[in-house]
Amino acid sequence: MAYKHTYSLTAKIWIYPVMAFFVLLSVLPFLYMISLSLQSDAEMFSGQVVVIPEELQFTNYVTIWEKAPFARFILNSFFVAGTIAALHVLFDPLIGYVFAKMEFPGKRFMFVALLSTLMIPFFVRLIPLYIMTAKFGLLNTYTGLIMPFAMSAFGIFLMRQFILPIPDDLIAAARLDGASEPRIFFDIVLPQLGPAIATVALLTFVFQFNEFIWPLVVVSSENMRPITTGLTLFNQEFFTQWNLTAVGGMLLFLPCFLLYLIAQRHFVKSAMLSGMK
Amino acid sequence: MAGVTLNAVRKDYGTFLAIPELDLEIEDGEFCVFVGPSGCGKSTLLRTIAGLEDLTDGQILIGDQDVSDRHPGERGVAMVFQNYALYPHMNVRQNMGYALRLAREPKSTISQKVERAADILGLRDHLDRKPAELSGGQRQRVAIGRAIVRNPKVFLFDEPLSNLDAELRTRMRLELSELHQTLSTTMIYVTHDQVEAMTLADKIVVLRAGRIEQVGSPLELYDNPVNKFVAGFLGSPSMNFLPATMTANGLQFADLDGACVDFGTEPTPGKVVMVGIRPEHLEISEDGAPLPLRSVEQLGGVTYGYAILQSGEEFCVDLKGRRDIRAGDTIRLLIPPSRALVFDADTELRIR
Repeated sequence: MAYKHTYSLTAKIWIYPVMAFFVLLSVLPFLYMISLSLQSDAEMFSGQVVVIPEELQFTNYVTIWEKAPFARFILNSFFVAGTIAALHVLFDPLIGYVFAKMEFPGKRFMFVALLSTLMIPFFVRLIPLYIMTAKFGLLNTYTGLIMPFAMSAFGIFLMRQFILPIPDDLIAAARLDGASEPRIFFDIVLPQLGPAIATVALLTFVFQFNEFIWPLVVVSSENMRPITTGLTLFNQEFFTQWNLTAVGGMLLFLPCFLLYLIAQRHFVKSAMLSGMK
Repeated sequence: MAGVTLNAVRKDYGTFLAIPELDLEIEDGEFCVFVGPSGCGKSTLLRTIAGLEDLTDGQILIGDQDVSDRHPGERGVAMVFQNYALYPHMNVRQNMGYALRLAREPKSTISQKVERAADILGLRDHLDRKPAELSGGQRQRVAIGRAIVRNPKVFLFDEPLSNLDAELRTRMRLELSELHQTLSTTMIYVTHDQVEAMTLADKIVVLRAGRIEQVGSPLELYDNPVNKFVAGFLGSPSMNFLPATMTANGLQFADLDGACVDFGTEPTPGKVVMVGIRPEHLEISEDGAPLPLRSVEQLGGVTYGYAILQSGEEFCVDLKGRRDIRAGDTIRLLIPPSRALVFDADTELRIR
């Protein structure tokens, strides 16, 4: 029979309230966002903290589409985040495979250099990245939104970790079977990276779907905005329409939540195998 | 089908010389076994023949074609790996048919060849299973099946049985032997297990540090090893070695109460030699030298007695069948001169 760890009564008495406190602390802002999204303008500007609205204003979920081109914003968000996630799924395993299974001069140096980019905060890279994007004439374009994020050091690292344990003999067997190097990658290596690919795709999509700074810097026209910067339309000179902003927040949350539900199994497996939990 | 010729094959990894320079001829249809201790270069040599390692120098011929610079898939060889190397996401049918699919063979031909191989190996009922759903023995059969369907000129086996348990290993060994008789294709087999080498091979190549120590049939190597290394490597339990000094009357042992035996070798008085004798060739006789046994192994059909000699050498005796002998008992041994082999203590070469 498998060993099952049990906590003593004293441990239970203090562990559960502490855990409940931290859960509440993280969930509370989200619950307040739901409440805010259902409040009327009057409740919002009343100066009081309204937890449960007197009358649930579901009309906010309709008004938002009328006040701003939200369909376009959503489409932009999906297109940009989806394309970036797809590029990650293509490039990250490919580069991870090269680092895991191929030998070439400078491999170690290049890998360390790649990993070191993880240590540099994005804001440090923001200005040179902006200048480069501008020089390439990619400001206010989808390419400008997508290109700088087409692959990531984290994704490459995760893929390399997943590919390393694949036996070299498996690759040798495919080579003997007459497979070319691209064939070996697509036929033999890639199908074994399901959990890692799901994780990279999910994390990338969610991260890019929520990305705010880069679109804010690169995009100038309204029809190029994703939801995140689109929400700033409710930020007016003298007041902010928090209820509509909260509705936008819900629209940002839902796709990511659904995606997580679908890919959760792979995500957990991947986290366990890569030791990143 | 084709033989394999290695001409001055050399392989190094930077400063490490894995195979200094090696020449070898493997006949068409022969079952050739590369045997040697870990790190002797046997797997490297096999992988070099397969094309998985680049040659540093030399030439590899399969049949009359120089394949030294050819891609592994174009050499006409198929390989069975120690860890099976089955594609885990493909079922047995797909695993076995992958090479044919890459060669763009028609689906019907692939199916026919896969099923034929499955019939030979008794895998017909497992064709739709994934490798994870198979036992170790079945996986190894699939790996062999994957090699068979390609109809290669040469089969290469890299310690294919070492991951199996003892019983299964014996069964698979027999199956491989039968497979060789059925297919009559050249097979090159790498192992560090001398029992596998002795039972499977038409020809054994004993390797040490990338060099060939001796090539020959199993019994040729067993009976006439050219040096102490080959003599000690083949045979289970392995050959006993006793230090002795040459005298005008024969060889005088440092152990066995200083017994002196005339082996008929040209005497060089004072020269120190090593006398090799296999456990099964020793004779128990009242006239023999006393040997106190340290431990006794009863294996049912055979009994082995072990002793440590004064010189520190471990000594094993086949006590011939069942014997009521226990650890601590002293037996009396004779070394039959016709069965003993004499080796130079310095060069380790056989003195005839």
